[in-house]
Amino acid sequence: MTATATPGNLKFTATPPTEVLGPVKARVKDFSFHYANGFQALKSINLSVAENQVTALIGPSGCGKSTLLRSFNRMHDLYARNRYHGEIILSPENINLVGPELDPIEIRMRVSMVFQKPNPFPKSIFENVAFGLRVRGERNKAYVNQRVEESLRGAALWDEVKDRLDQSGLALSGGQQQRLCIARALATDPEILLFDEPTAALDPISTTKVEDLVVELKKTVTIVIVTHNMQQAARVADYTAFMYLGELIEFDVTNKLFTTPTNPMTEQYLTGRFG
Amino acid sequence: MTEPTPPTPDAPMRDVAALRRNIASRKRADKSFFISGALIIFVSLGILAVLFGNLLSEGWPALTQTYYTKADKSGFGRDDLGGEITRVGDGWTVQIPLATLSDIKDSDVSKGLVGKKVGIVGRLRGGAIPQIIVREIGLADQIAAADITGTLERTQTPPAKPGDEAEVVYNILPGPLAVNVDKIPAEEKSALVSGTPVAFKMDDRVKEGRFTARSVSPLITKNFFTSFPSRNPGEAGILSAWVGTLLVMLVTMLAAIPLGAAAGIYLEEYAPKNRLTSIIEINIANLAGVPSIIWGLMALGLFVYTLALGRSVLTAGLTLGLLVLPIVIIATREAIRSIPNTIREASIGLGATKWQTIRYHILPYSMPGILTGSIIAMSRAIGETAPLVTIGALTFIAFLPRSPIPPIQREISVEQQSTYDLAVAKDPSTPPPQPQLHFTGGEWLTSEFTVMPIQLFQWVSRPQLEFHQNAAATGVVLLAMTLTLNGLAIFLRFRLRRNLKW
Amino acid sequence: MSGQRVKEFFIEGFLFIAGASSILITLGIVFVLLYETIPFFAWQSRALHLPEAVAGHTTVSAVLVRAGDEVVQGTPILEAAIVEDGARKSVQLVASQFTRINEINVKVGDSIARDTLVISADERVRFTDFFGDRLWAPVFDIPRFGIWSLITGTLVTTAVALMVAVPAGTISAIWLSEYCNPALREWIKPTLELLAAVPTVVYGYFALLVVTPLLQRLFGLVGYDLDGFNMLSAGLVMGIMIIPYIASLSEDAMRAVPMQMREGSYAMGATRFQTAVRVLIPAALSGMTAAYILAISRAVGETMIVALAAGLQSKFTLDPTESAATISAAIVQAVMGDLPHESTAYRAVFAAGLGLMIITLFFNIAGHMLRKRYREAY
Ligand SMILES: Nc1ncnc2c1ncn2[C@@H]1O[C@H](COP(=O)(O)OP(=O)(O)OP(=O)(O)O)[C@@H](O)[C@H]1O
Ligand SMILES: [Mg+2]
Repeated sequence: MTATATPGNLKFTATPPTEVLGPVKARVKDFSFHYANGFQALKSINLSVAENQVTALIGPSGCGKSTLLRSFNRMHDLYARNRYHGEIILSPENINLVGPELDPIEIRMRVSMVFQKPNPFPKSIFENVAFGLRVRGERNKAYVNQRVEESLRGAALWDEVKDRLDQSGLALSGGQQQRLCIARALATDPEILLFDEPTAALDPISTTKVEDLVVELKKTVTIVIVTHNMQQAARVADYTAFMYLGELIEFDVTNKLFTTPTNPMTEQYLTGRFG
Repeated sequence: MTEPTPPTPDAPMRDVAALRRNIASRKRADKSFFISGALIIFVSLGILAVLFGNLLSEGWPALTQTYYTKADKSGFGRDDLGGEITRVGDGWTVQIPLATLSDIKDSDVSKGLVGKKVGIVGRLRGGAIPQIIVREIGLADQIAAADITGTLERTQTPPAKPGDEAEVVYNILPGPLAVNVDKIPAEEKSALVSGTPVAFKMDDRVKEGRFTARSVSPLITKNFFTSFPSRNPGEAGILSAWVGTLLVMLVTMLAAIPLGAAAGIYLEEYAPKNRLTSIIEINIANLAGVPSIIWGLMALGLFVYTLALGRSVLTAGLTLGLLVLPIVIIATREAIRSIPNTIREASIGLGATKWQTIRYHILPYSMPGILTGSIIAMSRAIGETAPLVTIGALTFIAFLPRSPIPPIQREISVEQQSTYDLAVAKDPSTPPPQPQLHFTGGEWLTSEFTVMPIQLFQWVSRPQLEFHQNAAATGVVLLAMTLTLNGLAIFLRFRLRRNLKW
Repeated sequence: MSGQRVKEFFIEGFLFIAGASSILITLGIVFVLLYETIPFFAWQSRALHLPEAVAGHTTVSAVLVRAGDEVVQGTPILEAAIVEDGARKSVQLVASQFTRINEINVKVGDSIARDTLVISADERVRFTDFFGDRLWAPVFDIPRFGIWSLITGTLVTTAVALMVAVPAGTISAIWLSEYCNPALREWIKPTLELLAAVPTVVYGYFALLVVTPLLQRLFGLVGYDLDGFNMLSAGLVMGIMIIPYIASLSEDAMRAVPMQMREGSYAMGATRFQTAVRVLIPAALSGMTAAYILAISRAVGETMIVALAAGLQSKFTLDPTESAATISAAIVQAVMGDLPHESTAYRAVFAAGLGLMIITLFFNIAGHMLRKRYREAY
């Protein structure tokens, strides 16, 4: 596979993807993506997402990280004429996530997402967290209460909000709102949790809290996280993928990618010479 | 890393089959909402279509009617008769249209007359098919002074279902009536051409297919748009109404557009961001929501009584002008707001003053937007009824305000005429007065008027079905006008959006 | 240069006047309404004219509403009329509750000549007459000014209209903003807005001559005889008219909700319907409420539909199948009768108009504030 672009005067080849250790939750195979305007944002991506591990996507702005992330739960289906090519195979049933025969709603119920900008609904804290359950038609009050509490605890927010669950979710601070969104995503017990730069809008303390949370959460859920912050990737991720101009340049165990990248492109990026 | 916790035992959605069932039921709700939404929109648009279709089908007879003025005005049995004239040898004959005898009984007597030449004394009733209310019918030679003579014909439509009654209609096929043209003035006689519809002023009743004519005039085929309102529904038209509408709209336009555009320019380009400005803004939004009837009351108190402008075209135009002013102001502001600041800066940078910037840059660029807003405003004003009812616009106006163009007309004044009358009495050879120039440009403003919505309102309120036809026909015209104006505005807005390049 | 300066000054002055004209117009409206309403409620002196025919000697026979048969100070009198009883003529004083006699110099049984009878009276309508009465009939012999009957008429027609327009408008709004593809929406929305552009008098025609007969036939099926004028038909058609106000404004409000909010909901596996109902409606609530409120204000002020289809006679009823006048219809009814300027009935029209103005103003300001709020929210 050859990259088409050459930053600086560096000629480079994408490094073939490393296979992950342990069980794979999702396998991205020859995956390409075109936006409605015909722009190809992803070019033949191959990548494996390890189960109950954190996989980070890094790369310069506009390289297609969000595009790839949003493919995992078919967010692109919300807009007409976006096209997927290739496959993202989800274990254990080995179904193709981006297959047209598969209902995006089903996928979104299994693959949750936390966005860059906290987007709580204009509802109470409780209802924000219970949203996924309500949407599924869950009527068992005790179960909903229990899930809300578990999720808020899971998102390390319970102690801060337990006395004001009926207050508006919009009244929380930015960091709290983001954790509320994480709790919301957790409440339905997803198999994969996607984070798109979850700390981009947060202060350092909130960032630390969210990062700790990500590490904590991987016990129960497979995590894919997009980040601009390489320290963050190093702190939280087990695997890291470096992308550039819609291509996957290098994918490896985080430690290895950050210390001994095989691809000179990756090294250039990590040392801050472009991006 | 600690040991992984097992998945929550009661997480039901890990069961893919249950999950799919759940989705299926939710998608059914989604789908039924989609269908009901589409249905509601479809029905709403359908109502618009039904509305228009109903108006059109109800109003079609009135819209398309053309009829002979003279003959209809008084009907048979008075001194007028209309028909088509044909030259036959030295004389003339007139062929009048086939008429239905409306209240003739299907008796043995009438059956006996079928196929015979009969004479009828009766009255013509208006409507699309000439119907004669029969007062007397008999063999032509037995009725001394018939209103109409012709051959009687009986048609029987078989019953639609067994058990129904057969429908019997009597028609009279009027025979050609010979005209004694001796008494007709020469110039009228020369106007007679075979085949033209004409009206006669008759001296006598028809006698055995012959009558003497006193005067003849080509029948004006009148239609809905060229007739004044009338007590006779078949004859009534919207001439004064549409002329009134046009004149009122002219005043409305002249009042609302310059004032609205100026206000919009002030608010966008000059107004400081202070309390007064924000009060003006809220005030404009509120004015846009003032019910139209209130505008009528304002006009009644202010224009009609305080300023003594009367129930005139001017009052109506000003009232509607103020009523739609907020629409023009809001449209102007939106148009100006969409012009990027760079244009202003570029112009000011070149040394132009504020007004020059507005005059040469802002105004031209915002013109399409202002125009669109003005069109919408006019379409609103054209249909307004309540304020005009309130100021007392008259419904029965059988005259036209004097035309605003040309503003200067030649006419013989009342004094000229009276001096002439006196002079002629003394000396018959006095030359007739010459028409002199008079300025008549503003007279229409103070004239009384009616407009189409008022005419429609009045006709709907009448019990007679024929007037409802007229109402529907007026509705068609009114709706066509508003929809055209709106369509134009939509089109302009589309083009505007496409052409917007900044 | 200075010439240019002067010119600019005058132009700015002119533009300012144009900008401020809206304030003048508002003041004009308020002034006219108050100018006629205040004397309506305040004592106005009124000369009681005796008809010409009261010549020579006449006997006073007073007919009073409350007091005995003697005309006393402060007893209300409406009209002095002549009654001919054989050869004997008498003046009859017909009382109404709106008049107060200041001075009357005759007693019942007095024999009087025309110029010896002096009655000076004041007339006014009390707030208790205005708000306490249940009938509005300003041109009756004994007029009644009960605004409540008009308010109930307005209330019922508005309620019927909202029952049509709120669900239909809201569903249309959701459909247009969430279900319809943008290219189609570009066409459907302006076409739907045409419903609001149809002249209301045409809707009145439609209500009276199409919808009412249809309803009559429907009601006939269950054996109910529906009046040719009824508030139901007027309300239904008015509802159709205001669908686009609600649909268009609510759709704007829903589309102003940021995309992230929708994505958040979809990412949780919600369907479009669930997203609309559970997320967008709460998020767009202030904008949608503004739409409803502006629609209410439209319906309350609407005139021609109700004047044509709901009837012009006031009636205190909440039954939509009955005929009753709204405030606006009552105004039309009154002005069509060519009221004498400065009569109490003429002023009553303005008092009713002021009431209407206050109601709609309240809704307009509320709607305006709410719209501003949602515009600032995102
Ligand atoms: N809706 C869209 N239509 C067309 N092109 C798009 C669209 N969204 C994104 N793109 C393009 O696709 C490419 C990848 O975008 P993407 O949002 O995935 O980048 P990213 O790696 O997430 O960048 P960032 O770090 O800035 O978020 C960019 O070049 C962008 O311009
Ligand atoms: Mg991104």
